[in-house]
Amino acid sequence: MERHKKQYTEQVLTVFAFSWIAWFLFPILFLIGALVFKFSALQPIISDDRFWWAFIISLISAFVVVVLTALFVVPTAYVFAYKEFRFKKFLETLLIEIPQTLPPVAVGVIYVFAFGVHSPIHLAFTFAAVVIAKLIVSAPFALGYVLRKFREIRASKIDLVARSLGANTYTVIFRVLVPMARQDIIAGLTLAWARAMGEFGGSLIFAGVIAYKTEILPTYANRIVHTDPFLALGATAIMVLFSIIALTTARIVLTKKKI
Amino acid sequence: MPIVVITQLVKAYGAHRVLDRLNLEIAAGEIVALMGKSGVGKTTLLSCILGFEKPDSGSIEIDGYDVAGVAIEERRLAYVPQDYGLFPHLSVRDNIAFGMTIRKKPHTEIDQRVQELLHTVELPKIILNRGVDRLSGGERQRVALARALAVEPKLFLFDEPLSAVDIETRGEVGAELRRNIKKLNIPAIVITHDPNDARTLADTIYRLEGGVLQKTTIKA
Repeated sequence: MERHKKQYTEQVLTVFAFSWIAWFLFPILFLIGALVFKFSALQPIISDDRFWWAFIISLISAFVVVVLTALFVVPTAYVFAYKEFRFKKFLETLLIEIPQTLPPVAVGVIYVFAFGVHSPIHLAFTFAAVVIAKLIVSAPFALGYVLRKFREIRASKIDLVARSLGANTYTVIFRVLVPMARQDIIAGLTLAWARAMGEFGGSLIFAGVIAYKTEILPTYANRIVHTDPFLALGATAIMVLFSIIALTTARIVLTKKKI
Repeated sequence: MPIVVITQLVKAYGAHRVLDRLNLEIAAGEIVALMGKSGVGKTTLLSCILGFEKPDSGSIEIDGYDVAGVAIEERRLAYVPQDYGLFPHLSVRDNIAFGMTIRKKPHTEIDQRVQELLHTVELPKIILNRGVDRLSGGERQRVALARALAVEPKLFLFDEPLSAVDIETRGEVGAELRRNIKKLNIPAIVITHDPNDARTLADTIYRLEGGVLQKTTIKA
């Protein structure tokens, strides 16, 4: 009786888990299926130079986002891991959790007001606007990863050892914290890059959809999805492919680590 | 002539005096254990000696100099945390050389000194290029000592050195650590919550209570 009950529980758990997995697999499998059966639909994409521009603008803006993130994430994580200051907990939420849950529309609207036509700093509908819209939703991933690792190192007190051996703050950061957090930094930046590639709402509102200037893959796909669905599907396939590559890379980097 | 002299040290958080006119003297080569319940101020005392916290009043003299206002990296202290705190991303050689590398000593000098230190802590040369994750517990301990010795410390500070060691080998590891420190003739402070560890390691045992240190003996 008891054993029977246990088996039943196991079966129910498995059914739930696999239904969930199936639901998340569905879009990717559908995408693959559609491309396999309608591979010829990709043809117009390859010859559409507006698509290639959107692709290049997506890549370059995501790259700029990663460079900016890489530049700021280590100092910021250091300050949050080691310094005490007022409203620290709130500011940490502001930098990590809030941007990840903020409605992208809100981001776009705020920036349009802050840097739009009526503002002295006019950035709306430019390449810079694409980068700014992407940065706010992407960088939090990297900061989250790096900060967690820095706190782990601090708890192990290895940084204290380095200090007692004569290391100043600069040396502690570049000879201990950064090398020890190397894999977390790479994984965080990879995720930030993937997120930047997929960002949509903020760019749509703040940067607009100007061909050859601010149009990125997501806004490109959005523009044509109802008029030319297969072209949109092709663009989507490329985005999905890139995000899978990025996430797999991040996972491999993280599981490889010994530290 | 004591190497470490702590006089009338006071450190308070708000109205609570964690250290209340605390005095401590440590002679050359003496190993001192500091015991006490958690939250009693062991870490505060350690942080004051290391230079992470500024005492409200009183003085800490190491080797004849008042260290007030001296940054931790200038104090010539060897801090050794639980599990020895070896740098996991560096080889044995680079761990030992760390203090000399960051002082930009010439390569040949560093290599020669690393060899000497290996000899001092009785480790084979073959170990030099190994990653520290491939060392045994005893080897880790010796590498940590060699790394500390490279900067010619005035005082060792061990923070719960044996608490990660399993209970079967703890006495043995402790005795070996004591032998190694004694051979170096550098005074040491050992923070521990375990009376057995204190007895294995130290010449003198103090209990921190009510902000001051009481000399104590622990019966076997």
